[in-house]
Amino acid sequence: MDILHYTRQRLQGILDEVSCLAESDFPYPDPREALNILRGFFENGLKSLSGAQADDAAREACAICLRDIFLHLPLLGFISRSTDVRNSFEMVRPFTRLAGSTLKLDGSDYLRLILSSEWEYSPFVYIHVPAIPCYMLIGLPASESSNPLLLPLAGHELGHRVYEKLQPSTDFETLVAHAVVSAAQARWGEYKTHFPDVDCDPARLFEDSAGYETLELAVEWALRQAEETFCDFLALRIFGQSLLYATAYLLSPRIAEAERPVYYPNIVARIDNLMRASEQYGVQIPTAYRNMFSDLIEPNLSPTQGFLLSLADEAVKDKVVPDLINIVDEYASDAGLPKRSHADEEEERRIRSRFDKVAPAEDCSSIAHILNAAWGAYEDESMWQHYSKLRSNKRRVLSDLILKSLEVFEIEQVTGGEHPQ
Amino acid sequence: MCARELTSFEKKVVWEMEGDLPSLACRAAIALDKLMQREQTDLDVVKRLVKMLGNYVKYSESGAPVPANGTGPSPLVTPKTLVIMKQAMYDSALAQNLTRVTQVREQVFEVASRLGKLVQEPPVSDNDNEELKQLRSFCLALSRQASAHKPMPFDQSVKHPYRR
Repeated sequence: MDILHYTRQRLQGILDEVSCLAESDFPYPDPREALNILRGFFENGLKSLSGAQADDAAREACAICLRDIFLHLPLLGFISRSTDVRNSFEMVRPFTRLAGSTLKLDGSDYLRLILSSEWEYSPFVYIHVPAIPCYMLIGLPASESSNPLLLPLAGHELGHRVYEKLQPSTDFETLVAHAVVSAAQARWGEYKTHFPDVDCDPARLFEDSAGYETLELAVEWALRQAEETFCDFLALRIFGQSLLYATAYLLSPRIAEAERPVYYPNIVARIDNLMRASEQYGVQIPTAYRNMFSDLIEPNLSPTQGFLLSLADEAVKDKVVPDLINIVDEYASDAGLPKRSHADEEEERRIRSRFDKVAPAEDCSSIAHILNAAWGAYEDESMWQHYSKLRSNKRRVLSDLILKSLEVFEIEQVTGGEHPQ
Repeated sequence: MCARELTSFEKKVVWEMEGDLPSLACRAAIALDKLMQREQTDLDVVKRLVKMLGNYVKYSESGAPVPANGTGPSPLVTPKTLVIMKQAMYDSALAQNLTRVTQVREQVFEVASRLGKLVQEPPVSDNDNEELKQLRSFCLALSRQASAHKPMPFDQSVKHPYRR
């Protein structure tokens, strides 16, 4: 038995699997390129073990290789499922275009997108730098992966890329750490019951090593909550009301028996945050929107962990959210995404009139307009009231109209709006 | 699959993927091992680690660590980073009893400077082995601590750490 030998064999197994997957038919080039990147990554892992002695450092390197396999094997599955024809490939290029402009990318700094249908009911993204930098991997539940009405939720996933891009200049860590420490200082008596051994003046909590360390979990949780909230806000700022509808469609009222992940504010707080941001962004909140949702069960934590989670929640709600609303607003304006105005409503009415005639829209200026018009149509019970066949297939017909409109939009973008003679 | 050469974009992405703290610190430890054995090795990974440590410490323009002013979070930024760095110092016996955040930051700054010096002037004599041994020990401890404080969550709510 030899740890190094086993590790090399495991890496070779991954490389063989990558080779097999690369034989698949990919409808667009990004997934194949991702496979190539993973091949390079694991080949380098293999090389890093060449000549390694069986010592403590090599043992650690083997552990890291095993972690990398653990982390990346699901990505291979994701890439494999991206070839599935149930995916709405029409969404890929318009969304990539939107992502490129939102991220203010130039020629040297570009983004790839892989869309996949997943067998879990949650839109998610594999986005952290150690996975595949420059890639957005968006998975929608298989039962909804051909439903373009949910495209606004991909805006949340785009938010993770923007957050990452802004991190160096905005220093979210400092903002969040400051908010958590302030929350702890404000509840010092309670803090001391949980951490009686910390012996420092509350005002010096930043400087006392032992004291500052007690807030590790609270700061980590608050950081993750801040990132998720930022992403909600960016998606809202880009897609407007359609994001609110898509969120309600996917998540309301709550998942029974599910515990609230500590990395997100609980559902109602999350909705409150979205409503707060909607006011600033000029987004109309659907009637009785908040009542659509209920909170998930709070996690079963120890009293001290519960206290730390309450500090994280409080810090994000009271101190971080107002800053995030402004940061996203400023960023979006800089990226050429103007705040909603009367002109947007006019444009959405025009698109809606095309949908009423069961025709895709032309000359659209953004995919957000298409989706807002589509959600307006979806929610309008009087639509196609004299056409029973259309009414009974409303979601499918509307989905086709959205996808066709997205295709037209993309062609117009590529051709610069010139129609062929 | 035709194992073609990676494009420059693909190479850049792979390079970024290899930039997490546990991996960098571990590979730096292996590179220092090779230096001790006078084997040829690429010190790019050590250079990257020095840069990463610098981001945690936050150097001023003059190259000195940014002083703590007591009015905001430490330039070590998060408590997690503080814990990782402090424990790595303790595990590698580079320091003990660091009670102030400022002390930890100064130690990180010092070890980053020592690693930076190694990159600029790779040692040529056996007299340097003690320094190499100490720094290797720190890199390995740092890798382990960073792994320990970035556990892959196995809880039900997040089955995969990159899944949101």
